[in-house]
Amino acid sequence: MNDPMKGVFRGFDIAGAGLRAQLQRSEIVASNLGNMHRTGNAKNEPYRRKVVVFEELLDQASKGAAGGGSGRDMVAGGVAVAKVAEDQSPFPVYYQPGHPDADENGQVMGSNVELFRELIDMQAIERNFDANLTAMRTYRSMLQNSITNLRG
Amino acid sequence: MIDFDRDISFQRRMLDVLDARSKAGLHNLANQDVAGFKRYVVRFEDLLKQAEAGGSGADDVEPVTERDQSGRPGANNVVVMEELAMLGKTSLLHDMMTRRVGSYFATLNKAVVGR
Repeated sequence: MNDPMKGVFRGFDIAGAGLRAQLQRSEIVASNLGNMHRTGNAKNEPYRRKVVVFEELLDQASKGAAGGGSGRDMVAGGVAVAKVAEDQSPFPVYYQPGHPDADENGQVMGSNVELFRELIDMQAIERNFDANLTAMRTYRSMLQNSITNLRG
Repeated sequence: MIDFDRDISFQRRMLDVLDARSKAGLHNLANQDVAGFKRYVVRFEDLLKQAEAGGSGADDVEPVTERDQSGRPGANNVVVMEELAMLGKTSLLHDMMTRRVGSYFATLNKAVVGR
């Protein structure tokens, strides 16, 4: 039988890819939080919020044959971080004369990171991570049960 | 004549399906945050039912892995709890199938060795 999803340990790789991707995303959120107070002005840009973009991973070997279309030849491969994009939303401007970054009108630009949005993102990452971990545990117990049941 | 392949052929095919299905579930969960991702489904039971209703043999029914296109076009259609429930169900069925294979060989063993 030529099943495209063969290989017992592939399941762990797939779930592991999900865990790794979420971990990378949480690192970016931590970086956003760490840099959220880096101010700037028109010449010197303040910290720009980073956003992680994910992409689906498919097994390379059969991807070429299937031409990337949907069908039974597509093989699950997990997920990966495609790129780290920059949030293009505008920077907030404060009036704060005397600030080292203030221009001649006393305007300072702040970073476009919003604290609560980042905290909520972190919550979502945690849920996602937990779901992947639970799935991995279920898969493991499935294999473990097979060993127990088929032992002579 | 004892034919292992024939006797456990259904169990073997079902285990293949369940294995593929659990991997599809893991893949769907890993991709729950990918924009525009459509979940994978592994169809087998409904195809089996169709084949039996149509009078053709159930032996040559092949499982089909395909994309579930439900939901808005271009929107991710993974529901975390549904995938986890599906994985739980798959795990139970897998347990049952391996038990059946195990007991088949235990029976043979009993016939051969006598215990």
